[in-house]
Amino acid sequence: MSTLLSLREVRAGYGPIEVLHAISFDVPTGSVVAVLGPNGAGKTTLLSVIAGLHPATSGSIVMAGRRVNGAEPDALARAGLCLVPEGRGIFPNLTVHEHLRMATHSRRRLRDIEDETYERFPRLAERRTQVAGTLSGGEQQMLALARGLATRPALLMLDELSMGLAPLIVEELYAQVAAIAASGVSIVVVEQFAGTVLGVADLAAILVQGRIGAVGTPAEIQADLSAAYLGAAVDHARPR
Amino acid sequence: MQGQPDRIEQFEADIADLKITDPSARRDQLSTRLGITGMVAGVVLGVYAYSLSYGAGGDNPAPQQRDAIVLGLVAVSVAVVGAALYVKGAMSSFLRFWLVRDLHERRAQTDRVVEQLGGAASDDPSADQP
Repeated sequence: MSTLLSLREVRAGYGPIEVLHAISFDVPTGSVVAVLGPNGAGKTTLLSVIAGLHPATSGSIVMAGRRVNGAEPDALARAGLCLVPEGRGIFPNLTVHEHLRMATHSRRRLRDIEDETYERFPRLAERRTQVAGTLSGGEQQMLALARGLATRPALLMLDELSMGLAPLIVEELYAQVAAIAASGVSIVVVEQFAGTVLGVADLAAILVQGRIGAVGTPAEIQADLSAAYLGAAVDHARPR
Repeated sequence: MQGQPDRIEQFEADIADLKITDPSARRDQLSTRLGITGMVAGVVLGVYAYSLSYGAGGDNPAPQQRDAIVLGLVAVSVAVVGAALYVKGAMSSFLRFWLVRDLHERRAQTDRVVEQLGGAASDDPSADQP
């Protein structure tokens, strides 16, 4: 399996404060990679660096075989990188339909986008003319996900998909993530709460205080999660 | 999701075609340094222009004084541009720091709200809060 995204010794920070310390991991094509870690570990910064929204101070971000450090975020987005940000990033005053219409910039027909979206998320079809600010948290997250998928991403990055949502809704969303992954989209999921995401991930990495503590299969990582979150050494999984 | 293998190939082609400039993580620092250099150079040039105008002698000192005036105006321009670059660099650094601080505080507040809502939602696992 080829590698769609590869990070090599990536460092980044804010001013003199370094937040990411020599991060290295790979995302094989068509796989789901979960990046887990406690609050403040640097997960969102990591996604921002990959998406080109925040500069890496050193190291290499290699996408589809090319080093893309310094690439403009809009250029990466046009190529097929999609970030669903923490907090969903939807426009509260626009309707579901208007959100999907925005995705037609990717030169897809609105009708195709709507058909695909409503087939995947039937609840959004019921809310078609409703403004996004009045949707429930789960529906807002579905809309954010649908808007991202409408651009036909090759690499999808999800930041804290479960934030503020009830467990049943989170399970429903991750079932959709698994379906998206099955269609061949490579996915990087950043999560604070590991429970559900490990069920759909092919690989998982633990990020603690800006460092990758371990990378391995979900089964390998599961055993070390508590220790990693609480600051103990991680022995079983493959250290990086 | 239609034609994903084709999509991956298209992605690889688009990434290969990307025009990437060198990253400039230290652009603000460069701007600040250029600004300081410009301000210092402006003052030095101004002093030199002043001494040049007074050093003008002979039968016709006017050409040299005109040169000194032009040099003085250039000195003022260099100093003003330098000051602008310095302010731009300094403000960018400060505002970036302020933005990060604001984001951090908002996130901490969101975490507190989520924590409180989580306690309430645990009574009803099907509850879905906006």
